[in-house]
Order: sequence, then structure tokens, then C-alpha cells
Amino acid sequence: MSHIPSNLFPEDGDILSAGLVRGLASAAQETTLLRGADYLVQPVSGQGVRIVPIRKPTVWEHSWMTTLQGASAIIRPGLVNTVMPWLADSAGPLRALDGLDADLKKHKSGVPRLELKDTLFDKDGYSFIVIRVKIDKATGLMAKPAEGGLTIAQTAETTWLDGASLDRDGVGDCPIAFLRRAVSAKNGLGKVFQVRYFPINHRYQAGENGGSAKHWFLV
Amino acid sequence: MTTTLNPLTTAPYRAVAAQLQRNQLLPSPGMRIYRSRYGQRAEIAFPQDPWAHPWSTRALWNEERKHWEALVVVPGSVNAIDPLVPGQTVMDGDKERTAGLCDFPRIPLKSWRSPVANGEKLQAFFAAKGVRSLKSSGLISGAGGFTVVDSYQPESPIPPRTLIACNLYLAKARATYKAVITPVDATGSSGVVFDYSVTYGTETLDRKGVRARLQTAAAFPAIHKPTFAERLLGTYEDEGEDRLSICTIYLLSPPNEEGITPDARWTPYIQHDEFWPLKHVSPITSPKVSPKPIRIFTGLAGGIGDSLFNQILSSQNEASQRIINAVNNTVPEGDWSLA
Repeated sequence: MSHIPSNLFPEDGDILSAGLVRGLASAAQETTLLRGADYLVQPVSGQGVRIVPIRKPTVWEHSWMTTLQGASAIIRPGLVNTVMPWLADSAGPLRALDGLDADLKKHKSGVPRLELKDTLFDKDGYSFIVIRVKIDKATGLMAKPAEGGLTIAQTAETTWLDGASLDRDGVGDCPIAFLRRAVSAKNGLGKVFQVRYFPINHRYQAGENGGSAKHWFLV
Repeated sequence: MTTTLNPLTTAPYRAVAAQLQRNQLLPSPGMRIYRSRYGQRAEIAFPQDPWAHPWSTRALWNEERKHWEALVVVPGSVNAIDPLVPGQTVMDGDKERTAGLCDFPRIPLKSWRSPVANGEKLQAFFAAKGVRSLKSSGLISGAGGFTVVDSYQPESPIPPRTLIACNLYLAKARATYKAVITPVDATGSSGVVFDYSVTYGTETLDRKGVRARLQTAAAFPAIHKPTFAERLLGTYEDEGEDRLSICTIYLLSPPNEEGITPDARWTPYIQHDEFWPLKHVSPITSPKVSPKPIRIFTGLAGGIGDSLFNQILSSQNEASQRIINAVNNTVPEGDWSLA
């Protein structure tokens, strides 16, 4: 049955027959929400029922997956030109995103976290978590990650709104996620939204005809 | 036996019946509803929870305003920032500003098209649910582009349903190029001379800003792609905007429903076109120095001076090639790609 039959709706002045009342009771029974495979049914006294999902959502652990933990962000490892970025935090010096050092040994400080600052938001309430690439402008080659050539940073500046990052003295930024501060919130980190999901290829394009040099971050 | 009650009690009785009606679970995509005399049960239709990708969109009925709305449940981004949603505002402190997708605005869907009447290919999915194709539905294209509805002739036991659709799409402003041909000396003895130059404009970009916008329309507003000749002669109006369809939102009527005014009983289906954050790259970059126009000399007036033609021809060919290069290098359309 997909709807309450129209004959269960009497007009004013009609006599409420036992058939009508039985029909209504039966219809009420049919609208009882039963437990399903995906949820629990919790009656809330005098108010109704609450559906509680019991299936955990599928979490796909992709490259660059950014999750907030307190005032810091944990970034799942990913590769830029097959190289993993490094990151320093208050727990230890620069080390790879997977917590390994240059000798591929587990660093005693563990997996690095990006310590976030709520001052690094633009006037519209956005802050960006970026892969920061530093190159030698003479050769176009990326410096070693252990020497700060490939790191993760937080910034409020946007230099990539035309699809490529404008060069700033050999440095280019690739946003992998952005933080959006809640409307009206004066501080706090807000929610994180993912931008990148896959390994990245970096290419440097020198400026021509007086134009700006660019960093391209391609999938 | 008939139990006679006070006739005044029919009002609360009716209210209870109406409340029961409101308690019923309605079908929605991705959920299966099972009903029996013992109660009703809902189940997720997919064996695994589908991963909600960027641009995942749901259609919701707004009971208060009596219209359907779109909600992008996982905001996508263009060049690492969420698009604005024109027409939707949020209060930011004491200021009102245009909402971005990360503000999760409910986007009213008020403009619909009939895919069947538009002659769009009917998906087998909707045909199986009772939507009739143009021929079998009795919709006939009339003269002058009108569509008239003939009396309905059912061909199958499936009760007929009406299908309507609209689109969510991205629009991104960009700079424009336009060819300008300026006669320099059309009467002189040296023949016809004109300058060919390409101008750079930012009117749309200045008006609409660099940030992408998410908009709705009954049908995706395709952009006219100019031909080489149109670009060469500058005879087309470049809108200064690139567009990309995000999804098509379909609403399917209850069985035997005619008319195209959807209400809460219609069932939404979303067909996504995009699944990832996007990058938009415009090939147009502002020149630091305005390029010199390309000057072209045509043949000498009156056909005299034939001996000079060959000499002129070489410079003509060079100028022509430079123009072809200029046209090929000034394609205005931007490129959408995976971020």
C-alpha cells in the first residue's frame, strides 16, 4: 500500500464507522518504521522515531587526504614527480610525509603534522594547504626535499587562480586542500575541503615576452 | 455493527489520518522502501555505500516554498576554490555576501525542460519506468518549432510518467581576443593597405570576477565555437565565458501524471558529468607589450605593375602566414581539466 486510502478521510458530519476506525488503525500500523539493515530505529517518547545509521561510510584513503586533528592537519603521503614532500613540525625536523628520514628509516618523531595558524586566512575566510616546490631558476630543477625543495605549507595567498601557480623567486604552490572558516566565525580553522586526490607532475615554465614564470601541477 | 460517534470528532480523526500519511517513507534514489501490514522498512539500494565524490548533488523538495532545490553535498572546486552561487546569499557578520558552494546553499530549481519534447534521446532507464519517447507519447513537433501534445495512446502496461530536467553548470569568465582589420590606405597608388591586429579585452572578467560560478538552467547553455573564418574576420561576439555541465537533474512524475509542475511526489534522479575538483586554464594571457599589427599590402590598383606582383607575393605570403599563426594562437576558449 503506498498511501492512506482517500475513503479513510471522512467529511464533517459523517459518522465514524467501525470500518473507518479499523482502517485508520491498520494504516497506522503500516506506517510503523521497522528496523532495517542499515539503521536502527529509536523511538523518541512523544515526538517520533529517530533513524540511526549503523553502516560506516566507505573512506577512500587517497593521496594528499587531509584531515584536521585539533589545530594541526595530517596529510596522507602523495608524490610530486615521484618524490614525497617533507614537513617539519614542533615534534621534529623535516621528514617525509610517511614519517621516514633520508635513510628510509622511521623517524623517532613519527609522522609529521602541519601545524595550522588561524591567522593565515584571507579576508573571505579561506586558507590553503599547499605543496610548495622550490626550484633552481637557472636549471629549472627541484631542490631536494630534505633541503626544503618540496614541502607542505599553509598560506592565505592565492597565486594559482588562472590554473597555474605564478613563480615567486623560484617557489610555486599547489593547493591540495583548503580550509573554509564558518560564516561569521572570527577565528577557528573551519572545515577542510579536498582539492587534490592523485600523484602530481610538476613542470616549470619560464616567463616569455616579459610574462611571469609559472609552475604547472599536472595530474 | 456500526459504532456511532460524535460527528464533531471527524476533524481530529482526519488530522490523525493526515499525520499518518505524512509519516510514510517516500521513495528516493539509492533507497529501497519495503511496506507490509506490519510496518515499513528502508534499505540502501547499493551493496556498498557509494563514495560521495566532489560535485555530488542531491535534489530536495522544499515544502515551505513548494519547489525543488539542489544541494551539492560535497563541494567541488575550480582552481582550488569553491564556485560562487549567484542569487544565493549568506550573512557574514552584518554583511550579506554571495554564497559559495562551501556555504552549502540550497539552489532553487524553477526552470525545467521536457527532454522528450526537446527530442533528446530517452535513456532506457526512464523508458523502463514509463516515460514515453516522442513518437509513442503522442508529442508531435509542429510547424514553426512548436510542440503539440496529442491524445495519449498507451502501448505498454507500464503507467506513463512525465520526465522533466534541468542542468547545474559552471561558468567561468575569461579575457577575450577579437580580430580588428583597419584600412590604412585604400585609395593611394600603392594599392590597398590594411592592418590586422588582435585586441585583448577583459570586460566579462572585470564584470564577473575570476572565480567560477555555479548556475542552473533548464538546458545547458552551450557556447558557440567560432570557426576559423569567424575568428579571422572577427565576426563573432565572444561571450568571454567558458561553461561546463556539472549534472543533469531529472524529475520523474508519479504514474499517470500529466503536466510539468513538479511537487513532492516526483522522484529525483541525478546524472553527474563531473566527479573531481577542476582546473580551468585560459589560453589568454595579458600581453605586457601590445603586439604590432600585421600590415598587408594587396595588389596594385587597376592591375598595373604586374612585374611587381611576384615581389609583392612573397611579402603577402609571409603576412598571411603571420595572420594564420595569430588566429591559431588566439583561441579564446579555456580548458577544463582535472585539478
